[in-house]
Amino acid sequence: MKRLTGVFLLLIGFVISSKGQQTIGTYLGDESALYAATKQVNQFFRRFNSEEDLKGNRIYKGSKHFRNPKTRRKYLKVLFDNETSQINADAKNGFIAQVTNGASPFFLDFHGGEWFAEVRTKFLYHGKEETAILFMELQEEKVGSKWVIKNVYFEPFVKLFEKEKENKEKFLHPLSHELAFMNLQRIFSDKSEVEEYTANDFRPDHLSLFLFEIKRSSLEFKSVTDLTFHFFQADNWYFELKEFNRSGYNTGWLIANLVKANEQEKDLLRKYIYFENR
Amino acid sequence: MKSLYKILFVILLSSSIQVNLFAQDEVSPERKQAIDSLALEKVKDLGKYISIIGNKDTEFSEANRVIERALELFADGSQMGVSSLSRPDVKYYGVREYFERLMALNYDRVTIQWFNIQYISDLERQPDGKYVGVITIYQRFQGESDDGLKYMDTTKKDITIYVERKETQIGGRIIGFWDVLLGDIRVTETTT
Amino acid sequence: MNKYQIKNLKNMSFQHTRTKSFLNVSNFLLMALIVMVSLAGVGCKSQKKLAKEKEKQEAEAKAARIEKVKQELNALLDDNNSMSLSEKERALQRIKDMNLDDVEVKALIRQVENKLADERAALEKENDRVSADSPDAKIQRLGNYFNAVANASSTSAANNSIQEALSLFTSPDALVLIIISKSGSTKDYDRPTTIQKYLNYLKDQRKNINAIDNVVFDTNGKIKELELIKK
Repeated sequence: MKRLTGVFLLLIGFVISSKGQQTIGTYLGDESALYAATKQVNQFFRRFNSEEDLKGNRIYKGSKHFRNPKTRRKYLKVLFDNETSQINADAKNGFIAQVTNGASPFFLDFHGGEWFAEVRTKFLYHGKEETAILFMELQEEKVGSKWVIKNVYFEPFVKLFEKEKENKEKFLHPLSHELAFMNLQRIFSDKSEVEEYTANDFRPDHLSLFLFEIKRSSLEFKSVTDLTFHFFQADNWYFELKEFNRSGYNTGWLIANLVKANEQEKDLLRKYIYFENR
Repeated sequence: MKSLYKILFVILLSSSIQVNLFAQDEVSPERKQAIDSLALEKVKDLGKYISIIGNKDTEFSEANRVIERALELFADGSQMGVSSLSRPDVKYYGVREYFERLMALNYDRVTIQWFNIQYISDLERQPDGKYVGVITIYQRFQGESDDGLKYMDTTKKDITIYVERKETQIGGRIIGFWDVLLGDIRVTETTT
Repeated sequence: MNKYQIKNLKNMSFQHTRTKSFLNVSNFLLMALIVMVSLAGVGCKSQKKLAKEKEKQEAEAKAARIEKVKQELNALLDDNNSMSLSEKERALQRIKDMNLDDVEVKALIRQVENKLADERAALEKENDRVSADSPDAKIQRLGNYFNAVANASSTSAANNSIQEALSLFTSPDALVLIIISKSGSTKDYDRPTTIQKYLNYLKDQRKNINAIDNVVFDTNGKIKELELIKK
């Protein structure tokens, strides 16, 4: 804790000493909290990797301060949500030790994949407000990159396609083929249970359904309500990044969850985040 | 055998072209910094225009002239997405609509104060070749009426910046310049 | 009395006697004249009253006009008058054309004439100096205008400085390039603009953040292209 305070004091000190910037209009007094805040995801990357100094100035490749392990250790401590998230202290220390170790340090890479965004949104579905969770990924292109919609989770679709675990009543009997599947007529007349006649591995593709409903004007976008990032880049670790809009020094984009996980566990985590196994 | 050399040569040639293209794409830190401060200057210009528009003393015609100048800073179709502490849902406004609402505000005094802090992201390339970045600034808005009513908020503004390398021919010579335009702006109320 | 009436009168007298006719005619004419004069006399009396009132009104109007002209002349003598010199000269000429017979106005006109003549002489001298100015002096003046526009106390003061600065250029659309960074021979520019837009930018933003880096003059010594660099 003492160390943490030290970093904050450092930050505040730089606030007071940083002058010489061009002034416009009236500036406001105490800005130390704003200096301390991790203001963009981009700044989280830079602080995580130590690619900016304590004043917030960019450190470019080639500078001796670029990705300096000492500064990184200091910074990483303040990149966690220390107020609401219950992150295990041992896990935190273990993580910091691993990503800053001298032999093979780990740096976050914006274009390195293995991280994605979970965007909570509000839509009107047939006039009723519903939450849709969009999963977005950064896709590399011939020139540059772009965010793409990778998947969506939409509760009404889940209910629509809920299958009974072991259905002993709804089936097409094994000799249906002999009658040229004339019994299809019966199953399609009961719209609500057609999914019961699909294969065991059938998974409705929510994204296709979602886009279809948008194109049919049944779904209308209202607003983004929340944003979370999931990072799987570091070996054996998963963490979650969220924005904390509150007063004090522990604000902005901070690690809200940290889990030690091997590749197999990471797969389970991914599925969990995508609502595939819950 | 000859044809093999030919193929090799073509591969080598094409890969060297690739390298050159990438080398051209690479912008030095000094130039990047210059572009950053140019973009920041545009953001500050916008701030000044906003306080002229929001000031009740500004004549209607003058405010309209300034709105036009302010709109010149933006890429077409740019929007403001506004949310407050009490209403986290984002409200979306076209930039012109935002300015017009600002002009119509019925405060006798409008003060827009700036925190002396900003954050400029990396410039990332998008598929159309333009660069995109985000500048974050903090602002305090204070509206006061003569009858003593006061409204105050502090907002974080995340401002999209589009940067494009362009060339124009002037008097027979080619001038290369950076076209910097502002894009969507996300406005979040903060507790500070 | 028209020609027809005279002819009738003549005919009438001729009908009486030829010899007496001359006398008769003159008598009649005399009578007619007397009647006419006395008739006119009645009209004269009411017209005098009207004329008096009219005179009074005119005098009042004249006094008001003189007062207004005096105010205008005093305004022309005021050093803080925001009118341009040619506007002032036109205003003075308009007043002179009124030919007002008033001692004070005449005195003020003389004062204004002297003042404007002095101003005209100073301006011409200044213009001579400007056109004779070395390019360096012009560049310095331009720099001063930039400061004046950015730090103007009022919109009209800024607009005056803008007008004066524009006189140094071939046209309001003269090209302005702003260098944002320079490394070796490569220069990075901001979006090209015009001098008019740039001066208005200084006025709105109230900041003068660019220094003059290079100026291209035409054969008449006017600036046709300006290159600025971030300070």
